[in-house]
Amino acid sequence: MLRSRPRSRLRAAFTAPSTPLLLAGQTLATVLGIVGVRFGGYGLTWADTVSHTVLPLAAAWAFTCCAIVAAERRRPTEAVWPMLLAAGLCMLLLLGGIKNQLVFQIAFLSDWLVMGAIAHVMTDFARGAAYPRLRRALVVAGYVTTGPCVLVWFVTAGGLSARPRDLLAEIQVDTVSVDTADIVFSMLPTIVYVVGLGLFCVRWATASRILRRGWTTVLLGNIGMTGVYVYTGLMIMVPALRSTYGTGIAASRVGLAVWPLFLLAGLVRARAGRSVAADLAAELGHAPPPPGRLQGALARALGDPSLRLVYYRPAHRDYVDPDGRPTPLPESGPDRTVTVLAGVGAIVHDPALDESPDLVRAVAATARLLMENERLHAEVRAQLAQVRASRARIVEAGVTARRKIERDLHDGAQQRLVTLALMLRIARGQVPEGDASLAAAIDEAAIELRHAIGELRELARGIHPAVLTEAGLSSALVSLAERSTAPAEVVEVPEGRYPPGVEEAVYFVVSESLANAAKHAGDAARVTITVVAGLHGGRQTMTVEIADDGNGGADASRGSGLRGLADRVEALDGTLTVHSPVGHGTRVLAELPCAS
Amino acid sequence: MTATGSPVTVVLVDDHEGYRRLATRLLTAWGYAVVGEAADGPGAVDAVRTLRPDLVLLDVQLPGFDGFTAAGLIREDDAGVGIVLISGRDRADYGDRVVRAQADGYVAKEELSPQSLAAVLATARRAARGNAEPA
Repeated sequence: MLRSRPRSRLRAAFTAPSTPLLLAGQTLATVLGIVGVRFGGYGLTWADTVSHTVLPLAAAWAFTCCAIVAAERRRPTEAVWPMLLAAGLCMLLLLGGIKNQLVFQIAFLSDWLVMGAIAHVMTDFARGAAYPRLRRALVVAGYVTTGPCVLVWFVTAGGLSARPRDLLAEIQVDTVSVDTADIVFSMLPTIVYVVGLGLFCVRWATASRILRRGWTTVLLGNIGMTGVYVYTGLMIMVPALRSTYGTGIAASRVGLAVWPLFLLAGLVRARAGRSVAADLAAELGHAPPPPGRLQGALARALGDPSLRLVYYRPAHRDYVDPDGRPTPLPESGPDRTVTVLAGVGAIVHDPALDESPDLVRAVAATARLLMENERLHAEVRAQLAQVRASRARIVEAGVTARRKIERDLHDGAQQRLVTLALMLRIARGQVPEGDASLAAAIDEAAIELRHAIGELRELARGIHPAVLTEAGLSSALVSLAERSTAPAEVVEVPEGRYPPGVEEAVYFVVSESLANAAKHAGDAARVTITVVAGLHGGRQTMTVEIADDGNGGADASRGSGLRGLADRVEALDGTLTVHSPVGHGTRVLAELPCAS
Repeated sequence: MTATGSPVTVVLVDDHEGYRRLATRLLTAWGYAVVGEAADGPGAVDAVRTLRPDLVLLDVQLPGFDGFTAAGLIREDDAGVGIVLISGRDRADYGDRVVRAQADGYVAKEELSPQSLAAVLATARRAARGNAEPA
């Protein structure tokens, strides 16, 4: 149904640890940690133990929750494993409250490495496709500066032989003395954070509206966390700030516990955004938008104004747009993504939505039924358009064929009869004086020939009014009005030429209406003919009105003449209406689409 | 015949060679002098310009440009020449173009006769006098 993404499914399998196992393990570790710190050798009371362990524990649990929520969404982009790593390292921080050489060293290194894990989460959270190399470099740099670098620094500074101290009690330390190595090594992770924050800002600024919603909270958290780490870095570097060491450590511990909450809020908010979209889609399900509007509704639901729908036509094995116009299925590219719904069609949308495929999938699932419905509409519209086009072609071909027959009659038989008439005239001139019977025979033949020519002309005119070809619509209507039995006047008619089918239809509408007026309108009736070409409802239209002030009472459904006219007009996608109230004249109104 | 007794000179314009041949025979028999022929619009204008006839019989449907256009050009060159349009079609098939044309009259091809020509020319002369009188 959706684009297959085998790689992400593979990754999702790796990023889905068992939640109950995780919680059980963490609970056990929490209990062990608290007990360990209470009896760790620093002689703490239960109250001290709680105050020492509360922040690392809060941080660890917050990270675990984030990991669970992110994993539940099966999103490879939201850094489940680094979150779990951060949670584990936070738990290891508790070891700092146990008076033992090795355990102290592990806790010390964990305290630094957790910064690397956080930098990893920050960089990988909702990472999208932008700057993949810079991102990887940042993650690696984060771990290197907080892992191996710190280890080297620790060893060279004689940390291996240093006496263990209560790391959880460092909040209470007033001031520290530092050397150059301390400054260098504590500044390195800070640089990673600042660059990481910059990257996140760029991602946030370029994200689609619906994604940004969840990310804003995370951005605020990142700004705060980076601020804390910049401060602790400066605190080591700037001598004047060294006296605030304890405060800085406290701030970083608080930050460690609070930052995951921003992350969590961001995840939940993004989900809320998602459910808003899902609600919207569900709403569409309850009250289907009018045909053709689904595209706009989906564009609004997904916050992507460039969204387009295409529908599949199984019978033709092709795609049409919502208006039924055939259109090729676009290919996914840097500026759009095509989500195909098998058998129904496809949603063409902003690639920014790729970052929330579950959102697109949720909306697509809801929209599927409506799309199926719309697809049928689009198909009907496409068929209708084809039928109209073929009908128009048939009409036009008919007109062209009749024009040709008329022209052939005129150029062929008619021409020969005319020549024959002249020949008879010559023969008549050569009849010897006194041969009255021959003269009479030739005269008779000439009269008969004249009738034949007249009848042939009438026949040709019935096939196609030559006046349209020879003189154009305007002249044709004027001459119709002049020959009309009922007094008629052409009020307005556009000069210029129009498609033969349209000209012919207008001609017959006028000539039939004049004939009707002469027959039914009464002796005193006067007829006006008005033809106007112009834009009408967005399309080029020719409007024909034949109005008389006669008896009225004409019935379009009864007279086959008017019915025939309506057919002729409707064949060209036009409309014919007849207003004929008894005693108030008759008004025939035809509207024909025409591209002049 | 003109007032001086010399025959009326005619240029005959039609794209059908057969019709020209027969019409020339008839016109000659009726006492006209067919001084030139043309088979298309531009040819008609040239022939009238060089031959200066008294009368042009001008087919409406011609290659090049049609008889209406040719009539206008001929009239520009020579205001006095008589121009009679001839056609195998009914006059009504040209709508109001015949009336608007720079011609003295219209005769259906099969109706060509001294009487019909005289009649349209007489009508044209009457109309011209009618127009001139109020001036």
